[in-house]
Amino acid sequence: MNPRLMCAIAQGFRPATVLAVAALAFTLAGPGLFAADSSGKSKTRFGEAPGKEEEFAGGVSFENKAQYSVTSGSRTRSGSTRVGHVSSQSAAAESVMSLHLDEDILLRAGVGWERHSFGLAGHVPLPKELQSANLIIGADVDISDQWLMRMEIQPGVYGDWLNVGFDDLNSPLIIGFSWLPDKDLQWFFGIYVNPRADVPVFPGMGLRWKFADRWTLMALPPNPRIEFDLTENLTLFGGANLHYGTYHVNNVHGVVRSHNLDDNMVDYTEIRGGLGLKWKVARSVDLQLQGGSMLYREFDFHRHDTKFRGKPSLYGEFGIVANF
Amino acid sequence: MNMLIRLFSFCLCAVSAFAAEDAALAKMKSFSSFPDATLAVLAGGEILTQRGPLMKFRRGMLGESCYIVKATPAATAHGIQTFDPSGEDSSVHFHSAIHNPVQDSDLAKLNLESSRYGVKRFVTKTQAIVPIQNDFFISKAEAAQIQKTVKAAGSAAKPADVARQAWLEVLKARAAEFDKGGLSKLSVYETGGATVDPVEDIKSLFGELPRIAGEFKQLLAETGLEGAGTFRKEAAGQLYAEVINYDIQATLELGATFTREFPDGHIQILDCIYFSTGIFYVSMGVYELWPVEVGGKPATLVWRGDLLSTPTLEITRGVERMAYGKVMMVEIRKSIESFRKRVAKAQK
Repeated sequence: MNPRLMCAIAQGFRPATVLAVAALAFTLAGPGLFAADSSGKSKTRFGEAPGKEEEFAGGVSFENKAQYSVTSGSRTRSGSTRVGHVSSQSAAAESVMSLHLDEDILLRAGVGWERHSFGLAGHVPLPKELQSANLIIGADVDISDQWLMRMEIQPGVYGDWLNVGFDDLNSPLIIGFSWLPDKDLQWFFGIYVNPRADVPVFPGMGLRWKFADRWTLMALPPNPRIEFDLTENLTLFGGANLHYGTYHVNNVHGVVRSHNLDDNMVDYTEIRGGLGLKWKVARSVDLQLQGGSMLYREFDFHRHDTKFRGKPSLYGEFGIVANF
Repeated sequence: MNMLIRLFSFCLCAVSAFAAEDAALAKMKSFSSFPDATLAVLAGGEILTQRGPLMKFRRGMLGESCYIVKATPAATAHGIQTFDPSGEDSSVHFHSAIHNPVQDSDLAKLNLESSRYGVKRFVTKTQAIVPIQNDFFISKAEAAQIQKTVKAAGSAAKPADVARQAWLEVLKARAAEFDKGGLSKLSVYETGGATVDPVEDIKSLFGELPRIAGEFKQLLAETGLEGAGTFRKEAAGQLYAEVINYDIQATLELGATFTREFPDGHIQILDCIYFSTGIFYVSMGVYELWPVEVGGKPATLVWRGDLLSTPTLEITRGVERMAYGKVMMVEIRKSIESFRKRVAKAQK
């Protein structure tokens, strides 16, 4: 009978990925399948609405995530010039509150922070640190039967934080669309607009395809991966991670001053590939551990056509996601 | 003169038919989310769908739909009541109509031997069941009973056969409980250290939807929701048991359809899965069918409500919940298209 359909949906579709992905943002997977009730709600008489003390399900929700990763020293060159080994430690945290304005519009507001610290061996004209602290302001909109849209701006300070000024301010914009034709297949289209980047408009697309009982292809930027459900609480995955950002570096940004590159914008890109495990430790909390190879790293001082590229090295990452 | 009488009779019939159709549409609009529905649009094959409101009942969700089936209400109702999904849906491992009270022959073909991961995991977890902490949506007493059956079977017995035996006992007990009082009182689920009462979930779902609850008040009373005394056994027409192979773990389910026919030819149906060993606590399809005409042939105007209570929804908020609702409606639309094809095929 038709209720079965609902059940298939109840377990087969993990919507956590839907718009987080459309927004081209860091994401971990969604709710678990066998989480139990703990609401302890009072008895309801037939025909009565639940008590007012029960919160409106769509009212306010919070998405919180944090991650920390390290990479080993990567041989780095600028053109044919060797600049030594560069290692890194990265940390990021984000907290976003969602509030239903009505059935079809969800307001999003929150804060984000990300920091890359670099271990520079020798005299390297690279920043010791790239860091951002930003607001997240946006909305999710139900635009038609099968489409959702997210618009989000992330105004904040993006730089090396040695001397914060007007040039450190930036406001990337994300516009994403999710097309949901099926419980097993969803498509995502997005545009990332970064006014200070070398390429200020960057389109992206991807899909989530559950192609077998325990397999899901998440071909979605910035973390395309394939997932295999080991158990209801444990997922093995393999794929890539893309870290990307544009930062302002001021006039003392490196270990050694390099006047060409002082007071400049740098596009930082890092691509990683590896394997990981995601463990659902509680109803709304996921832990994630992964490791592999940092395949490519680039510091692109695009205004001066100077690039520093790193060779592959190792990385390890730990992350946590908690949604309430 | 004869001609005149015939013409007059024809006009009278036509006017009556139009009036009845208008009344059906007006009735549907009175409690549904389709105030702008027109028979002309629906007769063209359109399926109207609407995600239900965001509920205070956190693990609840509603989807509404409205459409026309080119068959009489009786044929449409029969299609809903007797649908056996095993031919259409590869995830259905077992489906069988059962009697009330359940008979041994009803479940004779239940076999938990399968190469599919979900069914295998269901068997493995049955073997390892611990009453204090288990993932199945059952009571502690049922878990203890299963454990006892598993232990008694010993290690030489085939795990699938042992699991079958253990679950047959649970199914029979649950079916007997239903036979006694319908939906008036069902054993609670004691899972993950918490207690969930499926009857409370059904009440909470309808409690959020007073117009729908009002429309189906008599039928819902006959299910026993207003107390064991109101349960009308004859209303529970079709009962079924099934095993669905979900991705991670199969579930074993018991369901019932309740039907109420009205003198004016319209029919109400409630299809309720009242026992499930996992994934969801309660799942219901509510239907109201009205006789109409399309192209001079008998047809049925259908309003359908899909209600679901699942722990997954409880932790699904914000845009995830929004997306969840959308996907639900997409899948409902597909199932309606499939249903219409099935009914059309049966008509030939």
